[in-house]
Amino acid sequence: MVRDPQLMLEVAELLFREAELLDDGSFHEWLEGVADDIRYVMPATEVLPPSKEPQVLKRREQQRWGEIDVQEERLRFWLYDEDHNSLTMRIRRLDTGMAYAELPESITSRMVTNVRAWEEPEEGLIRVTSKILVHQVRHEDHEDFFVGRRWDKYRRVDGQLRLLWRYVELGHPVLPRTISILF
Amino acid sequence: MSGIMDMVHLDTGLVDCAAYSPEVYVEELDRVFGRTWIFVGHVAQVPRPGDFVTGWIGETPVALVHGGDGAIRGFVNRCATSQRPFLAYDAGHLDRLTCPAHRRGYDTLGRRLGSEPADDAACLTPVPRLSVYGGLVFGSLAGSGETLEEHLGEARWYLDNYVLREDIGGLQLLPGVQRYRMPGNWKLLAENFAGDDYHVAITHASVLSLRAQQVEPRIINSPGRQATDPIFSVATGYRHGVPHGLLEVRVGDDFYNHDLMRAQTISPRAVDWVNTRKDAVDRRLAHLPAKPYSFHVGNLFPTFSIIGNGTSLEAVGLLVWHPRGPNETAVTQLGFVDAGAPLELQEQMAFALSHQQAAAGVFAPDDHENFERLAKSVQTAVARTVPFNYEMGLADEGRDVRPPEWQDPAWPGLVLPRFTELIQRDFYRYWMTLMTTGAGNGA
Repeated sequence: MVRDPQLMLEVAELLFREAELLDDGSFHEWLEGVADDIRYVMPATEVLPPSKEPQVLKRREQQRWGEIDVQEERLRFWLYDEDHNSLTMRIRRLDTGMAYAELPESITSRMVTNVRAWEEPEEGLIRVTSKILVHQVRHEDHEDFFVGRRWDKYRRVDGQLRLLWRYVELGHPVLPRTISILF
Repeated sequence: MSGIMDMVHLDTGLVDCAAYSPEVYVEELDRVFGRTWIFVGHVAQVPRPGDFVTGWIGETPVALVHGGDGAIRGFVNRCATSQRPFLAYDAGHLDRLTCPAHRRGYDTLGRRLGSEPADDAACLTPVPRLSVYGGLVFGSLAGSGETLEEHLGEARWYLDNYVLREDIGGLQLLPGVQRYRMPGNWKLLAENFAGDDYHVAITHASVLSLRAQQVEPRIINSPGRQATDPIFSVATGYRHGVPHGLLEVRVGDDFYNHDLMRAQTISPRAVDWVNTRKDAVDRRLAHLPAKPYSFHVGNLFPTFSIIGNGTSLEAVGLLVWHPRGPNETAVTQLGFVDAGAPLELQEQMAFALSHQQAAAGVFAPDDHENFERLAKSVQTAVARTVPFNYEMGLADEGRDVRPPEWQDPAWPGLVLPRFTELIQRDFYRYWMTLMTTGAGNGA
C-alpha cells in the first residue's frame, strides 16, 4: 500500500526532473536542488559473505541512511564522498573546458524506477529509495551501463524538496569504467 | 619470442605497436606475469587466522589466506578437482575452505579435509613464492628466481622512507577496495605511472585550473607555481636491473611548508603530524647532504603503482594493473592513511585520494579518456606503421643530474630531469629481456 500517494507523485516528479537535468548537462541547476549541508556518498562495491546477524544488518541500514555515529567508521576509501563544496568543484571542473573525461560530453540516459517515498514526521524529513539505470555513451561505440540503488533524504525548504543525503550502491564489483558522471 | 627485438628500439626510443598485439599478449602472460613479482594485497586485508582476500597474478585467480597456524599463504584460487575457484568472495573469514562444486574441503593451510576417495589427497596449489615487504604482499608464479628484495632493488629505499614509514606507525588500510576497468594495454598504464610526468599538466589541466581558482582547498596539496624547489624523476634498476620509476621527487622545503600551511587550517595535531613525518625522514637520512622531502607517484615493474604519498595531506593509493587482454586492464586500488595521524588529518587524506587518482576522482577519468581513445587506434593499419615515440631526453641518456655537492653520499637511484622518457625506455628494455630470454611459466 502506498503510504502517501500525493507524496509519491511529488517525489517521482522530482526524481524524473533531476534525471532530466543531469542528462541535459544542467549541473548548476541540479545543484540548486541540493541542500547546503548535503552529504552525497558512494562506497565501493565488494562481494562479501552474507551475514544474517541482526547487528550487521542494522549497521548496514544505518550506513545507507547516514546514521553511523562513530566518526572512525566514516573513514573509508569512498568512490564519492561529497559535500556541497566538493560537488561544486566537480561541476566547475566541467566548466573549465579542459575536463577531457567529459569532452565531448557523455550522452547519458538515466532511468529511475522502484521509487518508494515516505515522511518521517519526527525528523521533518522525506525518505526515498529508488533504483537507477544509467546508460553512458562516451564517443562512437564506447558505451556502458551503470546500475545502482539509492537511499535519499529530503528536507522541505519553502515548499521545495532539497536533497540532504544520498547514498548510492552500485551493483558493480568491478566498475565498467571510471566514473565521470553523477548518480 | 621472435620478433620482439624488432619492436623495441632503445637507441631511438621507438616502440612498435606490435608490442601491444594479441600474439604478444599471450606470451606476456607466461614470460612477464609468470615470472616477476606481482602485488597481491596487504597483510592488513587478512589480519586474523581464517581471513582471506582474492585477487590475481596476471589472469590467474589467487587467494591470500591467513592460516590457522598464523602464516599467510597464497593459493591459486582453483579447486584441485573441479578447477573452479573455491573462494567466490572478494574477501571474508572462513574456518575451512569448501569448493561449491563438490563440497571438497580444505583447511586454511590448504590441506585436503576428509579425503574421499582416500587415494585422492590433492591439496590446493600454492602460489610458488609469496613474500612480504613492509606489509605489502607479492606473489610469484615462478618457483625460483630473484628474491622480492632483489626485484625491488633500490626502490626499497623509496618505499621505506616515503611510503611505508614504519618507524612512525606505518600505513593504515582504509576500508573500501576500488576495482575498475581501464581500456588500454597494461604496459601503457604501468609506464604512464612509472615515467610520464609530462602529461599531468595537460591531461589534468582542469584540476590545476581548479587549484588556481581555490575552488576546493582539500585537493590543493601542492604549492603549484609558487614552488621553486627542483622536482625530479628517478629510475632505479636502470639498464641492469628491474626498472622502477618514481616521479615528482621533491627536494627542498616548498612542499613541507605547503603541508604545514594546509595543516594549520585543519588542527594543531595535524601540524604536529606533518612535523613528525618530516623529522622522521630527517633523522633516518641525517647522513645525506641532500634528500627528497617526498615522491608523489611511481610504478614498480611490472604493474604495481603508487600515488598520493607526495604530501602529508593525501592518502597513499596502491594500484595494480591486471592484464585483461591486449587492449584492456582491470585496476585494483587500495587506500592507506598514516596510522599515527589524527583522525581529522586522516579524513583529509582519504578525501584527497578519493577525489584525485581514484575511480571517481577528477584525475583517473581523464587518463581513462586518453587510453580509451588510444586503445581504439593502436591496432589500426596506420598505427602499425607509426611507432610509439619515447625519445624525450635521449640526448642525456643515463646522466644523473644531481650537483656534485649532493653526491657524497648520494641517495639511491638515477636522478633525472622531471620530464624525460628514459624510464619508459628502460621499462621496455627489461620487458624485451623477459620476452626474449628463458622460459615462460604460465600466468
